[in-house]
Amino acid sequence: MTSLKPSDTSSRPHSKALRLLLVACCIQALLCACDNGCEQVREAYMTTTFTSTSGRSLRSISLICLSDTLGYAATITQFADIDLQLNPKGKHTTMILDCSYSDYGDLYTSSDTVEIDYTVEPRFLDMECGCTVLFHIDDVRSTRHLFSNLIINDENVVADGKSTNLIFEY
Amino acid sequence: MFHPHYAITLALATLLVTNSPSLLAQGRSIPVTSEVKAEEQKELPDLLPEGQKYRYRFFNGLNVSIDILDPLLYTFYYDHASFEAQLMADFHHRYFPMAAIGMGIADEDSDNGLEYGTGAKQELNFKSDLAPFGKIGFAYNFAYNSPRPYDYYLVFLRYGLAFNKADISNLYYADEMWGSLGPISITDQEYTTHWVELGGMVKVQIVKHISLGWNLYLKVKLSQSGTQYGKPFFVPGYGSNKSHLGFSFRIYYDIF
Repeated sequence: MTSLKPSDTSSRPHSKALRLLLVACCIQALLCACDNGCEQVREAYMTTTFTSTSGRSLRSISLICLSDTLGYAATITQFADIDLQLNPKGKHTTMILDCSYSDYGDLYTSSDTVEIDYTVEPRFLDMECGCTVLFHIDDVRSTRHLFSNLIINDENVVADGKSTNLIFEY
Repeated sequence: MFHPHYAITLALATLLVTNSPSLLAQGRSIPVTSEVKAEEQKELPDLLPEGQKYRYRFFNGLNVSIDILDPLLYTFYYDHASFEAQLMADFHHRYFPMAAIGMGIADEDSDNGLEYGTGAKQELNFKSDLAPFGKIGFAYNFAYNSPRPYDYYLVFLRYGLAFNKADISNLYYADEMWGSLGPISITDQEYTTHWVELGGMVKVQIVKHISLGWNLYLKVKLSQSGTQYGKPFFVPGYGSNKSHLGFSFRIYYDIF
């Protein structure tokens, strides 16, 4: 058998270096393979919800949203929340909410106008996703035909926002 | 998507694997581990004399090291890098206090451009001028009485602090309803970042005074200021915010 000494193990520096480099390459390759594309939500929605404090039952809402550049309409037939896309190029939007509701068995219709002032701030996400925007709700005004109260629950409208921004009480 | 750098690294790894047997077999039979260990124990026995806690003296010297992986990747592939130099002391082969300083730079465009509802592709740019960072921490060697004094397998904990300033340009925001908004620029953003690194470290002596090694670690941000318009893509010393895993390949020089 070949006689061995401890120094034999350190007399192969190229071998040790290569093994070290090999492991390093494998780790680095694994880390590089973990690079992913954009997986974040970029679009910011303003979330509104409707709460009855008077015992009335909301049957449907027809929403017309007017803005300084464009307008769009959406109809919600259930007692659902409304997710609204604010215009990132604007600073003000007007919503007309046509509602039908039942009050002690009788069916009524009503219309309220809601005006929202907001400011827009960019938010950098990352290199894959680019940016999103934050809408800061500065002020909200509303007529009080159906809705008795309007609460700003969260003044920041952000992408992937979990909280409700506006609460309409009727 | 198949990453080009991934291919280069794999090719290099394959080359090393195919070359290793021939390198190992050059003119000498390969000793098995048990034989080597038995021979080592003749000179440095496992058992210490009774009452002796440490095999090695209190102060075993200083070494300096630099990370060579980040500059290498910066030269050939990435557009961001941290250049780091570290000083590490050795007490009883058990405790290794360390301090590092360095500079980081980034001038990166998004890889493939961003596709928006309009169909247009735009490339955003993140630029951070050369900025400083520092790290301080310690490593611990569990096998501090090992008879092999030149190869270390350590765990370490480091705290890092960095200051950088960045400009982000050519950003676009688009949604299905309102179309595209941009280009937007976010300029002169000043960030201060605190983080910790927890991981493992290998240091192997190649020739006298020279060692190689790598660090693999988890990095966790403790706090970051200046993020009103979003978190920075790159922080000097911390790296990119794509992953919480960090990796460096280092060359060490034992000063004494």
